[in-house]
Amino acid sequence: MAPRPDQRVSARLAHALAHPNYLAVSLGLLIVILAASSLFPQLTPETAGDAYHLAVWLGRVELRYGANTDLLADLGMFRIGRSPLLWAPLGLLLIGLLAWMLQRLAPSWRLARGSVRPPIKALIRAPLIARLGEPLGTDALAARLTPLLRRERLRIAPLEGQDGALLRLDRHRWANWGTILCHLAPILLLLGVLLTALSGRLEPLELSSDHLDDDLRLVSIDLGSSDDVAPSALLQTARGDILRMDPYHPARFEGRRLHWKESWQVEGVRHLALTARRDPGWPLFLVAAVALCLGLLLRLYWPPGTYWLRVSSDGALRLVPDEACRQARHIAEPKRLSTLLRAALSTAQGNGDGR
Amino acid sequence: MIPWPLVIALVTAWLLAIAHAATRRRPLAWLACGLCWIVALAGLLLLIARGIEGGHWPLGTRYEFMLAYLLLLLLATGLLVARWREHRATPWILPVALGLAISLALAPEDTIAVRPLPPALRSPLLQVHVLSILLADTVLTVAGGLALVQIVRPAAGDGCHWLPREHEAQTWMTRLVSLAVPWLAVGILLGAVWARDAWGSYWSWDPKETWALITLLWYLIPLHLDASPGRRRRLVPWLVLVGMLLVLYTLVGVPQMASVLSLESLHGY
Repeated sequence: MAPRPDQRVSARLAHALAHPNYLAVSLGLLIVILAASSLFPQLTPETAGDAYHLAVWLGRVELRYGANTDLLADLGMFRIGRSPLLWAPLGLLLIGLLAWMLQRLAPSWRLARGSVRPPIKALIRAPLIARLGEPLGTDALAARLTPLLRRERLRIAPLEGQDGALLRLDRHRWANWGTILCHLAPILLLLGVLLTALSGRLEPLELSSDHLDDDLRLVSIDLGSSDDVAPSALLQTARGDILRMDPYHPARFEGRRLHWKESWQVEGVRHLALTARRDPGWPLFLVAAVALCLGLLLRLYWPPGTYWLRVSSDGALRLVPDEACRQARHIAEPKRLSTLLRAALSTAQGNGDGR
Repeated sequence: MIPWPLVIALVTAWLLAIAHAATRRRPLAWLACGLCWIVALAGLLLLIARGIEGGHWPLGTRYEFMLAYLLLLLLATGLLVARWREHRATPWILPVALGLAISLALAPEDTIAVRPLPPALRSPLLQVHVLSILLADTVLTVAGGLALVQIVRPAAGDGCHWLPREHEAQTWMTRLVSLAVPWLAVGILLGAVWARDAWGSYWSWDPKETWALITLLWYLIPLHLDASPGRRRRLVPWLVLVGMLLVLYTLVGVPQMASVLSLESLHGY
């Protein structure tokens, strides 16, 4: 819907930010920057936190990119997750999504709850499907059409207080929640990533079999016999709890996740290097992931749709599909439904006059 | 290695499908369809044999993934044709399957060998992740073929009888994209959950991860445009076709790119 000239500046700005063109441009920018970043080696937090590996990595990068290394590093091409080049279009997209949410939350909510006002003007202007011999009341119309509409998997909601008879026919109304979830999920996802970036931690931790007075003690370690058998270790906390871990199954300790980095043996003493991670954004990430999958499944597998059916006091039968029903997958349905309704009501009235 | 007679069977199926589209003779379509089912069955047997030989689920290497992709692509084409009752779509989908079969037949010996599954890949979560991505990629490839039909249709004119009806191709393409995108999202997110345990981080800006995200973001554009009225909807087939190219690039091109640019990638395939 275009903004009215008398609308406030804030409303016009919100409309511009929620416009598909704005969202498409930010999405396009994001895709281009992601594609560009995939051409460069990325510095992982693990490498950055290890002086030796960092030096090796920097040496390789300088060798390959020569004089351009500093420029590329300033642009954030080697750490795209922290680059302003990525966060600028991401921020623009986030603002657009928020504006869309604010603008469409109420209508989407009403659609999902089924408390939408009937489009009276559209119902008056809609093409005539049939002219019935006698006008029908809402209850009589609903009773006559119930078997047909059940076959079409449409739910009937009679609406009171209208001139003539008015029915709302809908299917998968609750799937409108999917739209809300789909757009809320990326916002939550980014908030989770931000939370981890701002307050998450990554610390190296080294344990050895001859060092016994720590909060965390290495009880035993199997260094692994071949590629097929993974190494594993048993750790003991100060409280006496035993933690099992291997390179693919991290252990949890005091709100941190302990990830296996490497293990080795020197003069009979076994060493285990770990990375302790604190990831406060993870629960938010999980909630967002579930919301996104659920939203997409609801919206795309059970597409919602609403029709308005009206018989005016002069017996004129009109049908108005909502926007969702006019979409590609329902494109033939309004026409087919009109034919079915005309046939059902004409047969029921025994006049068969059609138009 | 995929035997050459299967590649020849697939080439024959493609030529028969083209001949059917040109002549509208039903037996040619049935023959093409039958050959596709035979190749799919052979692919399934090859996968099962590799699974039995390796003692693990047969999606542990790039070769096995591509073989499963070929098998599912033929299966999806067969199911689409059976449901839609429109064989004229087959010639537009089969070239990708043909390309896959040729690349599998030419695959170097060292990539074909059945290997023990590394401990990191023995997670059920990873299996669901790979299957979701495989399913999504297959369906999006079929949708890409239907997008090509819609792109060619206006140039071929209204009287053209060798192409499926544009409106039906559009409806099926939209259905397929709607079917696949949730699975692509599920696949990427499950991969992130698995990577958090196996690699210590749910997102590491690996080229494969980045391109999978780009593909998902790209498909959001046709999904939104398809719901919008007016001229913008005409762009949808082009966007779905580019989406299919992105799927293929993520599968085949990104490992090559990583190798050429000496980029480190944790993804085996």
